[in-house]
Amino acid sequence: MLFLNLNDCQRMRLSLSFLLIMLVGSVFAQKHTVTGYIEDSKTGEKLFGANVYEKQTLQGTTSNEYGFYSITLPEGSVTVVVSFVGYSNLEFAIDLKGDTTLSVELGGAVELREFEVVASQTEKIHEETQMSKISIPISEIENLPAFLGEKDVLKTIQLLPGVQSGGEGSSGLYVRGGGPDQNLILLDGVPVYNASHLFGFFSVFNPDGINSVELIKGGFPAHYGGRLSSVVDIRMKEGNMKEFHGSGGIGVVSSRLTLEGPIVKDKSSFIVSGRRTYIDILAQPIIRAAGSAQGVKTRAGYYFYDLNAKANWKFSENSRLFLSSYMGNDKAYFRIEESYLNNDVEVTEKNDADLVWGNITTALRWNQIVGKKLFANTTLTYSRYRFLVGSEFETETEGGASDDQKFRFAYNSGIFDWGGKVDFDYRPSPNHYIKFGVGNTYHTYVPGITIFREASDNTDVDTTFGATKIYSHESVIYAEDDIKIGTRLKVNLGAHFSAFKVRDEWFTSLQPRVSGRYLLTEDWALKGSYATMQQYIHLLTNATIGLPTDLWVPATDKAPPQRSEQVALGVAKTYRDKFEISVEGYYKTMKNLIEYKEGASFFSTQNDWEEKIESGDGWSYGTELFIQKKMGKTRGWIGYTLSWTERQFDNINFGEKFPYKFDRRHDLSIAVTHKFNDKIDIGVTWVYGTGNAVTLAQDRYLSNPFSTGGGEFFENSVENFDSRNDYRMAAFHRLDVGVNFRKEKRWGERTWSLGLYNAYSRKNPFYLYFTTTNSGKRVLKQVSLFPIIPSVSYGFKF
Amino acid sequence: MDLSFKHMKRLNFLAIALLLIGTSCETIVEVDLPENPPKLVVNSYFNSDSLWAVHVSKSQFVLDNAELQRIENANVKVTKGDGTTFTLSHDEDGFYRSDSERPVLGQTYDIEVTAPDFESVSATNVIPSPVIIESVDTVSVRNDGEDQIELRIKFTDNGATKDYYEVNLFAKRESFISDSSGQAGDTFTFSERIFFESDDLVFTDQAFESTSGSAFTDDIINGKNYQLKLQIYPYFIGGGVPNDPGNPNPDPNPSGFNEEIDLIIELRTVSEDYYKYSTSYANFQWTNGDPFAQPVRVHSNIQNGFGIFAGYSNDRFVLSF
Repeated sequence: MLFLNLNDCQRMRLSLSFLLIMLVGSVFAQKHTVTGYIEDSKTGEKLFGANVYEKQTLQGTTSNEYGFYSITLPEGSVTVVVSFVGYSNLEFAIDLKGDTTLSVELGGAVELREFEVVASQTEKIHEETQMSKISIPISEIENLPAFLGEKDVLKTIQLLPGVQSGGEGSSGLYVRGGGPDQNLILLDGVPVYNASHLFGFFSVFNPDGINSVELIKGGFPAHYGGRLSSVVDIRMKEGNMKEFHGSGGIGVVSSRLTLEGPIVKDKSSFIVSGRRTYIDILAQPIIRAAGSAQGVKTRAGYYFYDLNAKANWKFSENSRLFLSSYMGNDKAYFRIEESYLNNDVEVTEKNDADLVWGNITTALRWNQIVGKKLFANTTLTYSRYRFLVGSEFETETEGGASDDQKFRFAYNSGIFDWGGKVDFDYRPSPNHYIKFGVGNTYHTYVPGITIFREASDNTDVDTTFGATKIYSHESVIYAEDDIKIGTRLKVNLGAHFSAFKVRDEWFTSLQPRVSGRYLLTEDWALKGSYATMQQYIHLLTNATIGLPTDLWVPATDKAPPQRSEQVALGVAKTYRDKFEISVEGYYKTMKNLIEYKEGASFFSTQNDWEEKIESGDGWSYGTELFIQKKMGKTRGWIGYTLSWTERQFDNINFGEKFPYKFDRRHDLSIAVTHKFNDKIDIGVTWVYGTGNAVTLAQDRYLSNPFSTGGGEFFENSVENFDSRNDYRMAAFHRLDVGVNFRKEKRWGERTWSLGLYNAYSRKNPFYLYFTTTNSGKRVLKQVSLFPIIPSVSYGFKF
Repeated sequence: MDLSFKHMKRLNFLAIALLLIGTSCETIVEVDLPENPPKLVVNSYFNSDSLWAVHVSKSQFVLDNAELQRIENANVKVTKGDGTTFTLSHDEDGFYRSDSERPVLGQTYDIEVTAPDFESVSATNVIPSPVIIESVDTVSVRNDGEDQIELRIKFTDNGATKDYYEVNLFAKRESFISDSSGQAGDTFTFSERIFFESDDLVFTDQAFESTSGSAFTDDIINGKNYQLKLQIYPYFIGGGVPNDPGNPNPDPNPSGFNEEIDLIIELRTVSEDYYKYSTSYANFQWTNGDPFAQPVRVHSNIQNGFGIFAGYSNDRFVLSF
């Protein structure tokens, strides 16, 4: 009423004053939080690591593993940019008046939206605080040529600087001088113990179902722990929320099929992905024929399979549930059945042997957004790794006989884990991204139990001996904060605390983790990090190839936890918005590494593996150069590593330092894919590395002629070596080439892939040994494994 | 568990065979290894039952094609604990012997060997006290579907000392050759070493299955009266199974040989250096050529050189068949 009594001028003046006050007031106005999920518009898959930032102030954040982000911005007019590599960026002009939900779908057709869509930009390496990290684009894994046509995640990781492969064909990872047991390989957050099939030639990860792969070699953030040398964080797809799709392939070694789709559109989806080899099925007739020619029924073979199955439910915008599981197995077997006559009575002898190893991992995860700034993830996991060698022998006399025998022998080794954890993401303001969490895993280790059963008329023995089960608890609590200080400096400060209880022993470790990035100019950054890691598990390995005779054993008082400290310093630059370049130097020390004592081995009646090992230290330092191009028709990277790695054990090599077996001085990898058009693209990789270290004898002398063995074979000699790993094998290099021919069909797309492994058939050294030729000449021989191998495979998507 | 070894070996070979199917190839590699100057190699196992004998040879570059050479012009001097010395003279083929001196139980002996153009080498060792075989029982058993004879060897370990043993089996045959008319002709005797198997827990190394003997320590039998079990195949001793009431058709001469066979069971007590050499050499032989094995350094107690100078005592038990 009062307002109406004023004349027009006064009214206008009053309104303008109110407006002015409001305008002024808005400068000190409240802040509001924008939250939401970033996903792929075609599949509904959440995007991990998408950048979400305000265009003017450059205040920003990234989406977490579940695609969730939360950013607090001042009230008023803001432009929110969402970007992710491989997708066109989107900008949203928003008039922010209160807490807002903005879920963004990238990559789709431009739709009419509530907010105005503007233009685009690209992602940059130098802006991240995290150093020593490489995100491997899935497209590169699929398009680069692969061994026998089997695309492989771990093999692609071996092409990155700082990562060595163990040897020809193997998929073990040796990162910055660390061993193959020092990698935390996570599949949807669950650790995988044996990540390889077929002696390490292929990994257990079927690339068809994978969404993202990240490798971290240093500067580990506090939410990771439990292994010294690397984190390989593999996240699988959740399953297309909108439509039913599938893909698969038929190759020389294996065939695979992936099916995904919605259970309830936009609410829940599933994905199932499987792969199996079939060499054994194909070889069966040949083996059987060869056997019957000798009057023996034979079956022998080897196969492996992987199966991933996942489902998820979106209860509401704030709450989601995920269930995932992986099952994989390798089996080598032979069966022989033979019949013969003994005094006119038929006797049948059966002989069976099996070698089985495999993993099962299962996880149940629940995401809950609490308030607007807190994202909580609860995970329950079960994981089982098992290795079994079994053999059964049976004789059966027609009509039964007193000396009929049945004998069974089995050697079991494994790890069973039950775990639970809760992880929180908290973003109080754009300058802080806090993560904290707590978790516990209950481990059961079975480091070798022999079961021996014999049943015949005379004896009925059932003995179990060998190492007894070991139980342990591993608990973790961590906190970290990614802090933005000013416009140039970003620091991630964190601490990871772990405790391990085994038998009556407690081991604890407080691990500080610090990393930082300082923007020197708009596209140059200086990065540094320091990280301490501790691991409560060892791999006792007696071979370079991942034979499952490698034993996983827990840390104990006689084999204390391994510990490492790493310092890294580097520069990162984005060049012309296309190339990401980083140069990094690192220095890493490792303690409590274990090795078998000289001459000791895996097969022994002594059940105490703890008596057969030595403890020692390791050092690794070097420089890595990495140039990557992620966009455009030509993509790929060049990686070069110059490094030194040594070991020292008091009772090996007279206590003197010796080079690590995989001390590769120079390592160069070039991986490039080029897309000519929608129908043809090629991939080329070239790797070069100086040779692995090997121990070679220098002197030879007569063995003792007076010994009972030496007396008969007088010319037996002994070879003596001066020091361990004192010789280098020849350098290896290899070129792999692949071509993909794609064709759109009514039902989808088909691809023929032709590949050539070791295109110029280089004889790369696998191992060396001394021998005498037929003419009596003593020589050093080198065995090489794979010459040029072509492959063909057929893939499809619908 | 030697049964497990067999299965492991079978499966390991299966694994390695699958691995190397078809596509591996070998080339000869030029190597740039430093050549060390040759050193003297002194080998001797000495025992109070035999005269002193020491073998001297020289080491050579690992790629040297020549046969390993004996040294025939060395000076081999042995010093007893009381300071007196004697030299051994070269007999033949690198063997140096004494025609009168025998090693004595409990004495420490130092050996020094010099030769022109070589650095002199030396070593020290002692003969340990013998342990008596109290009894040997034989039992027939079935193992893995085969008939075997199990020998149960009883002895007592000295609880006050750390002891090392080696057990060996020999078959001494007295044989005669039948001429074409079936008449007995000349007789001759020969002795040969017999291979045996064992599940006994004293044997801890997989290398036990190799040819150079079977040494063990008293770790799990210290001070005990122990029964060591070994299994042999019957044909080593003519095929017959003595004292076995369960055998319905005992065949005195199943193999067709006309012979008397003595089975000699020898239990040696050996010095620590002997044990270390024996096991490391066995490990070396077992893993030689295996690309997946750790390199093995063979133990040597010869200063500045290679080889082994070690003493032992033995006790023998004879079974006749």
